[in-house]
Amino acid sequence: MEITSDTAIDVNDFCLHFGDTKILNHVTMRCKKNTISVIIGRSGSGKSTFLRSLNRLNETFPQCSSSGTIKVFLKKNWVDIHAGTMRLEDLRHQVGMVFQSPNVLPMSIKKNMTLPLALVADMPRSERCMAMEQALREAQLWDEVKDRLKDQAATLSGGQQQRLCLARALALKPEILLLDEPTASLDHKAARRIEELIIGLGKRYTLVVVSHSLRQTRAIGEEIFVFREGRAEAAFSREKFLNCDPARIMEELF
Amino acid sequence: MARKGSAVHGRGSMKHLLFRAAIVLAWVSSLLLVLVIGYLIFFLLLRGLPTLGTDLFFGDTPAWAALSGQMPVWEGIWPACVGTLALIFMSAGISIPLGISGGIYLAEYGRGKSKHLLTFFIDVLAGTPSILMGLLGFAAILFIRNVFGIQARTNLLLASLCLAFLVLPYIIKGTQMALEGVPDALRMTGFGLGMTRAQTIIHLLLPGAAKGIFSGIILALGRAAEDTAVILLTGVVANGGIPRGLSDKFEALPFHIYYLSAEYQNPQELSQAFGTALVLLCMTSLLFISAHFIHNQLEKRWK
Repeated sequence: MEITSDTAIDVNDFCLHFGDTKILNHVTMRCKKNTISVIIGRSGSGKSTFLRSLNRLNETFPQCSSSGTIKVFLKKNWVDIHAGTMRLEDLRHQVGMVFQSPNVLPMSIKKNMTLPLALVADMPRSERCMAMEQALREAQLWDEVKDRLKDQAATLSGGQQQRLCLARALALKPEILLLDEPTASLDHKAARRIEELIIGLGKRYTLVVVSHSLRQTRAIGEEIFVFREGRAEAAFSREKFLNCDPARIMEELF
Repeated sequence: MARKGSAVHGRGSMKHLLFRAAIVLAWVSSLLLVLVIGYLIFFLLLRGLPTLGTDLFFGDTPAWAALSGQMPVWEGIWPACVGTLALIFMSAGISIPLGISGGIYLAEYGRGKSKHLLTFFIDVLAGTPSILMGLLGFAAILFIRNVFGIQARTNLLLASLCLAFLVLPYIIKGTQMALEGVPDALRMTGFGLGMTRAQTIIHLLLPGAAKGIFSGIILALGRAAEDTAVILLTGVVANGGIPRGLSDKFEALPFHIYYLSAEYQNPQELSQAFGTALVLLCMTSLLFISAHFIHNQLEKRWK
C-alpha cells in the first residue's frame, strides 16, 4: 500500500519492547482515513499493545522502549508521533481511545463528560453542556441519561457505561478513534448496539478497532489486519475478507 | 478405613474449632476495645465533668473580658486552649501541604534510588521519638543564638515547626499509600483522555485517595494535639497567658495536664487536670468531626 491522500495512519517498521520482551515485531501497515480498520489476532498477538502505541499510551508503563516510526495525519498535517513536535497530551486528545472494559470516572455522568472538556479541550464553561449533549446524542445515550445526569456514572449498565466512554471520547473531537475490544465485556445485545454505532461513526472518523470476534470483524470491518506474534501478518479489504471461508481464516491465521 | 475416616474427621473438627476460636477472639478483642475506651471516657466524665464551667476556663476573670482579651486569665485553662489550637493549626498548616506533596512525589514521580532513599529517611523520621524532635528545636535555638548572636528563645513558631516535622511522616505515608491504592486503570483513563500527569493527579487520583489522605491528616492532628515532649523543650510554659505572637511563649493543654497531675497542691487542682483532659478530648473530637465534614463536602464537589 502506498501513502495516498486518504491515508490517516502510517506505521513503518515499528518495534516495541517491555524490558527484554519483544511485543511488537517490525509492524508495517497503513490505515485509511474515515474507515473502520479492524485488527484481529490471538490474545497475546500484540494487537492491544499496537493500538496503545498509536497514542503512545504504552509509555506510561515502566521499561517500555520502541523503534521505527508512526505517522498520523492530524489537523491536515503529517505528524511523526515520536518526534516531539506534538505534545503528548495533544496527541492523546486528537487520537481518542475507548478501553476494553468501560472505565467511567468515579463521578456523575455529567462530570464524566465535562471534566475532560474543561481540562483537555480547555472549553469555556458555557459551551460544555452543548458539547456534552451533542456527544451523548452521537453515542445514542442522550435519551437514556438526560434526566439523570447528576447520577453516578457507575450506576449505568455496562453497555451504557461503554457508550458513555465513547461519548466522552467523541466530545473531545478526535480525528482518530482507537477502540480496544469495545464490546468484550458486554452482553450480546449491548455489543450489537455498539457495533451499529461504530459503523455509523466510521463515516466521520478514522477508526482503529481491536476485535476479539470474527463475527464482529465481518460485521464492521472495512480494512482487516491480522496480527500474529507481534506482526501485522496479513491485510484484507472487506470484500476479500467476506469472501474468505471463515474456517480457513481461523485455521491459517489464528 | 474406619481409623482413616476418623482421622480426617478429627482434622476437620480441629479446623472447625480453630475457626470458632478465631471468631470468639475477634469478638472479645473488639469488645475489649470498646470496654477500654468506654472506661476511659466514663472515668474522664466522672472526674472531669463536675469541674467543667467558666471557673475551669477563666478562673476569676469574667468570661467576656477574657474572651475579648481585655483581661488576662491566670487561673483558668483558656490560654492553654488557645495555645493548643494555635499549635494544631500552625503545625497542620505546615505539615499538610508538605506531607501531601511528599506523598504525591513518592507515589507518582519518585523512581529508583531517590525514592528508596527518601522512603528510608521518612521511616527514620517516623521512628524518631518526640523528645528528640524537641531537642532538635532546642538545639536550633542554641545554634541561632551562638552563630547569629540573636537573642532568640523558644517560642510558638518553633514548637509548631517541630510538631509539624513530628507528624509529617503520617501525612506522607497516608498520602502515598492512598495514591498507590488507586487502581491503575484510573491513571490510564486520565492519560488516555489526554490529561497531563498533574491534571490526572489533581482531578482523578487525589479525589480517589482522599479517604486515606484524610485519615493520615486526622492521625497527624491528634498527634500534634497531644504531644507534650516536643513542646516541653520548645517553649511551653505553665503560666504565660495567651500568646501575643509567633515569637511568644505559650501554654498548652497536654502540658497543663501533665503539670497539674505531677505537681498538684490540692484535690481541686487534680480534678482541674481531669477537666482539662476532658476538654482536650472534646477539642480533638471536634477537630476530627470537622475534618470529616470537610472531607464530605469535598467529595460532593468532586462528584
